[in-house]
Parts: sequence; C-alpha cells; structure tokens
Amino acid sequence: MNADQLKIFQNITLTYFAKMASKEELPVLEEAYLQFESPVLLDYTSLVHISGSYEGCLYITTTTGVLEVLLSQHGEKEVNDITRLDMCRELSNVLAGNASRAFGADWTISVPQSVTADKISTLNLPPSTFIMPFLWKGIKSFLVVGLQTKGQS
Amino acid sequence: MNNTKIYQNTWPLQQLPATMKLSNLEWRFLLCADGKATVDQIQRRLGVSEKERDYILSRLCGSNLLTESIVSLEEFAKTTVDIAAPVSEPQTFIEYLKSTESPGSSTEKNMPAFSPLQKPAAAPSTARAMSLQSVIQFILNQNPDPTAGHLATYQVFMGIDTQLLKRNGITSLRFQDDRLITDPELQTAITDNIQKVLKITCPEDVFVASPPGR
Repeated sequence: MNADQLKIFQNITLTYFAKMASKEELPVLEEAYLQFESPVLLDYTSLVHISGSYEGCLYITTTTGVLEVLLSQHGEKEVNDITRLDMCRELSNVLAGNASRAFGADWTISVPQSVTADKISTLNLPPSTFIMPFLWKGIKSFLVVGLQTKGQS
Repeated sequence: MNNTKIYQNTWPLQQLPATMKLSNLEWRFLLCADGKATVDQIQRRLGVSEKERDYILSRLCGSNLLTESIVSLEEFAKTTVDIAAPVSEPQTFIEYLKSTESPGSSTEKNMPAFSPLQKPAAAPSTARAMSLQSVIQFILNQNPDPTAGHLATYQVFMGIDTQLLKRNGITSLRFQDDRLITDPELQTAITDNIQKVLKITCPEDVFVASPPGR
C-alpha cells in the first residue's frame, strides 16, 4: 500500500459523503493517528478484507446518526434497525468498490461485510490500525486501515 | 483526594529533546516538581482541580518525565512546613534552574553534617532514553509527502508487538506525541523495524543522555 493509493481511497470515500451534502457540509478529514490493541468501532461497521504484500482490512465505522442522515438523503422515510443495516450494507458496497479502485491493482479485495456493534467480536481485526477520523454533519466517523504481516493473525 | 507524594523530574530539563511538546500546565507542573513540593502543594500553586492535577500527573509519569522522590526525614519535615507557607511557582525556566542549584551555592541552608552510607560502586550505566517524537520526525522526514510519512510510521509501528507498546504506556500514537522510551526492548524493536521498513539505520540523535541515577 502506498500513499497515492491511500489518498485515492480517502478521496473517493469522502466524495461519497460530499455528494450527500451541501457545500457547507462537506466531510472534513482530521489528523490520522495509530491505534494499538483496541480498534475503534462505532455502532455500524462496513468492512472489506484485503490481501497483498500484507493482509488486513479496510473499514468505515460510523454511528447510527450518520446512517440515519444517509437514509434521509436517499429519501428513505422509514428509519429502523433493518433500514439502518441496509444503509450500512450500501456503505459496505461503496467501500468495496472504492477499495478495488484504489488498491485493486496490487491487492485482493474480499466481499464486503456489514457489522453492528453487538457483532464486532466476530471481526478478526489486526492489532495495530491506522485511523483516519472524518467529521460529517457534525458527527465523527472513522476510516480505518488495519494491516499485519501474513500469517500473523 | 490528598496526594502527599513528591515527584522530581526524571531528566534534567536541559536534556529534554527540543522537539518535545507539552501543554502550558504540563510544563508548569514539570517546573514545580522539584523533588521537594508535594503533589498537593503543586496543585495549589497552579490553581488546578484535583481532576486536572491527576490527569497532568498521569500524563507526565506515563511519559516518564516525572519520577516519585524518596525523601529524607528533614526533607519530609520541610514539605510539611511548606504546606503552611507555600512557595511560589517558578515563573521562568531561568528561575527554575536557579531554584534547583546545588545546596552548596546557597548560604541560607545550614544543613547538618550528614554522612550517607557509601553506595556500592555501580557499573557505568548504559541505559539511555529514546525520544519518540525524534523517531517519528525521523520517519516523517524520509518522506516529502505527509501521507507517505504517516503510512511509513504506521508500517514501522505495526511490526511491534502491541503488548510491548502497551507495557510502555503506548496504546495509541498521534504524530505529534512525545515521550521518553527507556525500555531497551522497545527501543530495539523500533530501530529494527525502521531498518526493516525504511531500509535505513535509525540515527543516534533520537537518543538522549541517561537520566540521573539510572
């Protein structure tokens, strides 16, 4: 994974959110940081596994509030656990497409997973993660890269 | 909660890396921790709440910038007296340095003669500390592009056992973070991973001199 690929991935992912908002409410990428041991996970997580020179995953983890805003932007009037999970799946498909576009040349991308907070223990996440927080509509979400050397998990 | 523990700077301030950054209150706390004042006294001098005091103290201790002092009976008695007559906080770095001058330079202190037991001759200490900020800056400087620098830093640290990082109080890492790493195992893991990921040797100037008494 190189910086150019990562920047493409950041940009196309944030563009998805930007298209859902007015110019005044564009998503803002905050300073990245590293997290060890306890990966950041919010209410809903959209994830793809990747494999190349390393193996690991890419995920967006976000809150119920963000999914409800996205549902509203999509014209969905019904807001409940089912439609929120549908929205999370939609986000997972976007993530998988973006990952393929940014990293597809060098990495194998898995089918996407959509996970609610009560199921996060089922995720096999690398212990060290690269966290890129972003703020959209006043709510913080996280775009995360988790890598490890092959066979480490 | 009362906190009568006494702390002193782990490192002479002159030896701290120039790149190290702390908040204003953290610097003030560090200047006040002279190995004489209790945590309570420092809290009163700075006018901070117990919560703020404990937060600052945990940050400074966690970064290995403060170490608890073991004091003599006379020093202990003096701190008790000082509670009634608090000393003013050094306002400048120069004042702080003056306040830490050796007792021999002051005529006010008439210390009773005291002959401490001779400590066994210790082997010269080879311990040294690594400045985390210097390491991060070194990695970032290898990459003109900030994102590439951040990614390189991640690649260096993702190869280090998270238990080892945790043992040294590192559970997350922001690129402006600083602390002094004294654990030789973690120092080696960092330098080895820099070599492995960046194919270059970690320079000696990420290390600072040994802390006194180590």
